[in-house]
Amino acid sequence: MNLVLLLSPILIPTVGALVLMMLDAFQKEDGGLAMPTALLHFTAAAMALALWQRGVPSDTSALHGFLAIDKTSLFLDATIALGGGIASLLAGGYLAEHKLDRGEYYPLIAFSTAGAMLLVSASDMLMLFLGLETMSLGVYAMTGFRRGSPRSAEASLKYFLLGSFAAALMLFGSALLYAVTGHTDYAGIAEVLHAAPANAAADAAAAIQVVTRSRISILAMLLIVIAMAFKVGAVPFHMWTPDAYEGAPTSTMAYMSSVVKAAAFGAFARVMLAVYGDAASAGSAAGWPAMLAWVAVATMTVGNLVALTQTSVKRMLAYSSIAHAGYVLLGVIAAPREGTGTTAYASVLFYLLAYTVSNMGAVGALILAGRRGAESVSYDDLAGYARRHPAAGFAMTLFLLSLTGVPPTVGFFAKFYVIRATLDAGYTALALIAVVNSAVSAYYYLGVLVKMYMRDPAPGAALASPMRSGYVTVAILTAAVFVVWMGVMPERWLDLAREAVGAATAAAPSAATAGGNAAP
Amino acid sequence: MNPSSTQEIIAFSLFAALAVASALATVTLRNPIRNAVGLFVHVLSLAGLYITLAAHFLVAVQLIVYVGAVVVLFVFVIMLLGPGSETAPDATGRVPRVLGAAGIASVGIVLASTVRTLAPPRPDRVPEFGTLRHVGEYLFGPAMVPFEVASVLLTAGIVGAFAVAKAHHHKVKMNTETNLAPLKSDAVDESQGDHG
Repeated sequence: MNLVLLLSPILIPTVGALVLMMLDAFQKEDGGLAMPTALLHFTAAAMALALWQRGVPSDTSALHGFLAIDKTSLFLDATIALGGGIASLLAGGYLAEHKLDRGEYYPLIAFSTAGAMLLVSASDMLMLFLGLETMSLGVYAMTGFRRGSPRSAEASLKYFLLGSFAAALMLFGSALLYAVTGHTDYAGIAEVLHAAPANAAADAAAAIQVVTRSRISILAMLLIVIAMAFKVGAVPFHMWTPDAYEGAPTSTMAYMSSVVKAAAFGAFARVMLAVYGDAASAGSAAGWPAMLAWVAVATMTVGNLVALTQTSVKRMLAYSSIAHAGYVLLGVIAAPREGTGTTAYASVLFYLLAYTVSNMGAVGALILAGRRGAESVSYDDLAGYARRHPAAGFAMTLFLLSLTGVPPTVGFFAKFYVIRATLDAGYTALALIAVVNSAVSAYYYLGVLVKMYMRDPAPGAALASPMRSGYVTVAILTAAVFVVWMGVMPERWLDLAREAVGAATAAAPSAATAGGNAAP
Repeated sequence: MNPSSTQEIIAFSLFAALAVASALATVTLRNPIRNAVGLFVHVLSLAGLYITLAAHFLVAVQLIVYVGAVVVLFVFVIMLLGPGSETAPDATGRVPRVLGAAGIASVGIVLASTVRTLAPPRPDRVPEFGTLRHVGEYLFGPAMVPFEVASVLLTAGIVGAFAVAKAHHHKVKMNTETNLAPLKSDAVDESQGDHG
């Protein structure tokens, strides 16, 4: 198959970003780039679906093992592109309303989307790093986009420094893996790491080699896990999340909390399963799932408990996104399990798509509730909002219910599948903790609804009223369609996710080409 | 393992010791100029290490890019900010320090305990190894995908830097009336829309 066609979901945002830069340079007025950017993203999503329909070729040797274009990456590509498209629409409304509409924002979104797609398609540590950095650089800049605001600058700098630190840790881990295996591609690393030691007992030197290799590979794994935990905002590496989310323009927050998270999780699951998916590293007693289980418990609990105490809706959504990272981790933990693992992996993909649309919608509804100079950020800002503006209030309600996990919204099924996968894998305690946490989270999500429907604004307080923006309306409607559609027929979507995962396991060996093995 | 000549061992030890010492100097000294000089020595000794690895093209790139451009840029920035400024004493609490030291120590212990027995798999040594031709053929052959992606990464970085730093351009333009930045005049709205 033509290489250009194969890479088209990634090439569209990449080339599109360059075109957007040209458009921005030659147009006289700022603004107006939101629609082309959104179309670009939706085209990329459509392209991913078309490739899926047509069937992914088994021969991708032209990529030399650097990228794996399979159904897993296409599913995630489509998720990312959908999220990116909705985020560009939100940006079109938000930036214009708050007089931030400068043209660089849109190429940055497109570059970040391309980076995110590379990240989830990576099958080589080098590409993992490049994708991660391409995605992150754009997001750092979008976080600091509110120039002249110390808060935005602080958020951007914090995110940039911690993100770079995490990237450095991952690079260190990759270097260690290269040192012991001589490979940078996942398949090559896994092959050397898990090669059955020939007569290890008889040959003392070989036995020492095996010990050395396993020690260094565990160290490398820790470094990679820490780096990815930073990116997904898992406790105890979540410190940057609330500040970065709060300081960032709200449209950037939508992108960061959905697309970046989906891409990081997709790559995380992929690298762990491809490199450390063997029985010894992924066994439940001492392997990485046991370690990640503690991380997941801490992430869910800390995220939810701190979210309870917030007075700002934006900050609450930031902590809630930490908590959701914990739920997704459950699926990642269950994914290496023989037999039930495939469904667990599929539940992760389902969750990422579900969270992307729900969270985009919730942030979009928050954007809608703020006008120029009167951005709604706190619970009190929203008092009585839904009674004055029923339609806008209903939108917010729908997405918050989905985040809470109330049927028939998609949020319920996302949590249900992940928790079921956790139970199937035998982690009963983890599943219980997740259920309790989910119940706790209802308190702060419903707190917004109580404010919107049942409280009157304080006398003299500014009344929140929705901004008028076709972009934001379309974005919210798109998200709402998915939230309801996926909630009404969840099994179909889960089957798609299952298909995505099944194809990945079948196509994995073919990715093992001689490609990025040895640098010159 | 290939037998290493005595000169090679001497060169490696010299550059390695220099690299570690200058890296420590870069992160521990208080005066920014000294940090920059430490970094300068560090990237130079890395270039020396590449020589012992017979990666000649990499040596040239290291010298041009890091020594010639990156470190010089650092020095420029430090000079612009004022070279005399010493950083305030580190106010990090005891617990983070102890944890950090423990983390570094544990990584060090694992590496120290294993590195002696590590026999890295060596790629087949080809005669033209490290030459411009060899690197070029690899970069534009099998490694084309990451090579191109690196250029996307750099473009994204440039656009990002521009988006964040453009504000200063406007101020320059407004204060001095120079026409350095042919940009749209949205600087007026700078102070507004900031209620986050």
